[in-house]
Amino acid sequence: MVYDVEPSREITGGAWYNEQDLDEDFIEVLHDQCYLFISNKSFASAEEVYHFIKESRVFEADLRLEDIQTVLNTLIFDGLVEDIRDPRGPAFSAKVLYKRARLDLPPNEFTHSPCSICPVFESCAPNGVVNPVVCPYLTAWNALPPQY
Amino acid sequence: MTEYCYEYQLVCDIVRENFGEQVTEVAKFLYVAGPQSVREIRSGTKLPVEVIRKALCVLLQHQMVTFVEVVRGGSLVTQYKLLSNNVCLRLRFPQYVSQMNQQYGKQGEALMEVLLERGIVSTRQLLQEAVARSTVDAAGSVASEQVEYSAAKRAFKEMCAGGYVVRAERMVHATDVPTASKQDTAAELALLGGSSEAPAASTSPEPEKRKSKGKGKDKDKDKEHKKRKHKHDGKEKDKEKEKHPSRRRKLDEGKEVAVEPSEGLVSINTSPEMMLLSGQLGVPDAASTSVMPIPETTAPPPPQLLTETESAAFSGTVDTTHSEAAELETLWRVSFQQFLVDARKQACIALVSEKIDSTAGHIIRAMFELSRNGTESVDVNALHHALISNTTTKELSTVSLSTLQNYLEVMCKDKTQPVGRRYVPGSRDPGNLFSLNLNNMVSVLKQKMVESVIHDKFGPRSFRIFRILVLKKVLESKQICEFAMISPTETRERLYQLHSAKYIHMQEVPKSADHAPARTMYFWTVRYDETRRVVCGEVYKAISNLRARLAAELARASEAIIKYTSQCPLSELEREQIEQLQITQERIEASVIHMDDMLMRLRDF
Repeated sequence: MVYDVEPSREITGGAWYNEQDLDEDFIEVLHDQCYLFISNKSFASAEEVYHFIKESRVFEADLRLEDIQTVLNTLIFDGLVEDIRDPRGPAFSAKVLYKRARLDLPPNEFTHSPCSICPVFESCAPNGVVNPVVCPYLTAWNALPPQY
Repeated sequence: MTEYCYEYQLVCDIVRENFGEQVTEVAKFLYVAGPQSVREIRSGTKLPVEVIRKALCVLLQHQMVTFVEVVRGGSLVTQYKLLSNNVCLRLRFPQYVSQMNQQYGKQGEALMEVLLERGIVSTRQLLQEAVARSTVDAAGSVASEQVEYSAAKRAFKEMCAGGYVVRAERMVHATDVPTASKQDTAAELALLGGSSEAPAASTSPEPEKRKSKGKGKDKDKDKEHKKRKHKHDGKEKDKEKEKHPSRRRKLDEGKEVAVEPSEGLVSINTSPEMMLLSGQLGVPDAASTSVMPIPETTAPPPPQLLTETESAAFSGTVDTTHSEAAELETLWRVSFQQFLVDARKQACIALVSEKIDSTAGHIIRAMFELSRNGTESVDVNALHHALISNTTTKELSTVSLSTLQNYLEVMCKDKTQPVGRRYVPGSRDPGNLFSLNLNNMVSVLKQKMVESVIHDKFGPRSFRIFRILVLKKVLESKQICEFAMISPTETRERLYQLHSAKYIHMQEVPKSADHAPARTMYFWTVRYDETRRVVCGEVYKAISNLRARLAAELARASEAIIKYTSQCPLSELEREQIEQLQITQERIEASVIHMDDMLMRLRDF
């Protein structure tokens, strides 16, 4: 292409693609930075996060507000952040703010037992070839020290 | 279907461990076939009728089976239905005992132990056994029986007031009892006297009475006459009667005709409920499987808690010897529902405390307390008063009305919406009534538990994909890839991983009739109830596996255990074996209890 012509984002893939591959490391770092910024503030809007990322000059990529919005959405899908309407503004046109989610995932004992990750869980039966009485995973789990 | 197979396995394990093979056979049949009558159970299990009746009695005693009367072909048939949830509740018994110990002391613990072991117990038997246990448990000192008995009575009253113990329901409907006076007297003597003799077949009431609705005695006589017409040979008649005895009892002006039960039919006068009430069948111990002693059981009164008069009589403050004696024969059972209500309340309070803060948790607790009185909506002023008067938490005494209002507003606007606002048109302050949204809180608890399993089992990226599908409902894989910011290859791999584990579902929308993949759209979605059932099924299986492993470990070390319990000297190897076994047992039992807690949140809340 001519050197002074910028290719369209639909062709290049935007800020997330680096030579036709999705730059997952870049996304991961941006993801963490946005979460840190929101955690340090009670509430933050998408614009505030965008300005923070821009002013930090950590990332060379040309990021737009929509890109930051996409990253904030992944934070919502991960359950790390919640979106709320700005209570100070009018109800019907309130700005969307983001705050840290306070509800963590509860601990579950099922995934602490070897049955949850057993590759032959479906085949396991009391009188079968694969059975819990001679299961090596359960033997190893039982042999763990008491604090585990 | 998989969830039911795993639950079936667990139910069979629990029943076999507690009540033996024969009861297990009956329970298995009822689980698979659904509600069945005794005749159908007999044809399905090939067990003798007596054994089936005793097994049903055992299951009824422990609230694992209920019975319903259905109309089939113009007659009433009693069908028995297995309550699989109640069977699985046996895993929770140690928690119930522990909770009673915390709330009501060692007497509460002893009372709960007796109730859970026996199922349905009379007051006299309950107090005697509880006193015996708490006296034995007292380390060193032997407290006077009178003191222990008073303490046990007090604890029992408190447990009744708390709703943890309720009266056992009647097993025989009052309408089934014929009105003839001789019958009543004989029935009462049989029921109240706790006699071990079988009630006379001609005089006791019949729970499986075949009613002919709206038809007079003449029509029955006509039908009988018509039947006799067709039977010429007397011997053939007898054989016919043996094979297909008449199911109708004919009351001929005070004369009663008892129906001789054939092998294939249950005697209407010796059904499990009647035998339980008349004292013919005993309450089996946990270890016994075939020999069942005969206890003294009496007819249970209607399901009511102690009224003030009764509790006064029970406590001995009212001098009514006769009523107290009758009260001591009242039957009681554990109310599992109350424990569930307590657990759900605690979980909701913990959820709100974590989501907002501890003050909000206390507000929710106060709203729960106020809702016990039956009020659905709570006024802010009443709630404020309840919070201030709660002396257990000092910080709440400084909460002002405006602060409380703010908290309620925040909870109404929160995404989980634990509190809802109720608008009452025409009232002085519209919108000042608030009510608890229990459904919202419970659905959040269930959702979080399922997501926790997916996050730990499949990783954070699969968790992100699952959450996208929960929030966006139906998406294609390309859209999921864009929302999740994951490469298309990895997205597809994770989607198929979740799909093969049946946590998400795929919907094909073909554009052409040949369903060619290139011309078909594939949509991914989460059917949340099915996902929850899949998780429940896997937890059932994991619990079954752990219990089987524990049983095997105990069997393997049985010799060392016998030596250890009889305080014989142990070799080094045996000592190590016992120590390892103790660690294994603690780990497995703790794991089973926590997994059962998961089941409670996913299934019972």
